[in-house]
Amino acid sequence: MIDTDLLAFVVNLNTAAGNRVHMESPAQEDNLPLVVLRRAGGDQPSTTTRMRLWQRSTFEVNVLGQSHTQSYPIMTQVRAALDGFKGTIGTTRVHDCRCSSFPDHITEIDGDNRRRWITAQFRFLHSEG
Amino acid sequence: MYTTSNDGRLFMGQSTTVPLPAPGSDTYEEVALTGQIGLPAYTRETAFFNVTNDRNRRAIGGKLGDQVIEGNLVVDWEEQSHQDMFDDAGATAAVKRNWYIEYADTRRLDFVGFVSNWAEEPINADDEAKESRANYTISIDGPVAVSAVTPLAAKSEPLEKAA
Repeated sequence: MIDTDLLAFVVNLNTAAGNRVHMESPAQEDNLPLVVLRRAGGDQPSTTTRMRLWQRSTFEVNVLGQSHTQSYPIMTQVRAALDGFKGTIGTTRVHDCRCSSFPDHITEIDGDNRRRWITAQFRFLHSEG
Repeated sequence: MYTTSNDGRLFMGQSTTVPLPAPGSDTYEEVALTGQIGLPAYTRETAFFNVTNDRNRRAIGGKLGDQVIEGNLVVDWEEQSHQDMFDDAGATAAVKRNWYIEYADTRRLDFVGFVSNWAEEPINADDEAKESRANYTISIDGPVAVSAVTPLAAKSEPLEKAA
């Protein structure tokens, strides 16, 4: 399944976020930097005989850190690995992956707490097995 | 029971002899990965005229117009049916075959036709990646034989539900 396979793929990139890679929401006690993956929709066309074709899924990759210099290298590493990727990850065959929107960054300041949040979207064409 | 708009199958006869065998004597191969199967239109040529001694418009009907099957499929060059359609489209002369379309409710249309158009979508680096498709047209030569589902008594929903 692409959700869990993508999670494992990003963990195996050995970025500065280490294994602090989460699907949907991070653990509250996690240290920065960390990566949050979020499924942002998808679809799966079929034929007139109801055979399901390859799926198209969009995932958002969010990198949260204390500074841009901490967050950007992680996003750069993830983007270099995913943009243009074709191959198998876990049980998922990725027929195409491309970065569909370049990093967008947000700064959150809460008292002395400052977070730099970088996000990018990737579109996958994939199938199982 | 009425049927859905997204289920159906297209079959192509294997024989290309002249004359073609009767539909029941041919062997058929299902066209794989069909994304859309067009259905033949029944459009009759018409003409209108007036007469001088009343105000009513008159109409006469002629023969049926051209009938074609237009659709698309997801191209897989390992599928013999796709290779055959491509070869037919590029042949020096029209290759006539027996064809039939089967609806989900088993209604069936039999006809003789030839592939008159095969147009693959362009390879485009800018678009989002997806399955590669080809549009096809089968021009029908002669009548379409309909093996109809046996009609049952008409069923209609009431215009207003009973209280």
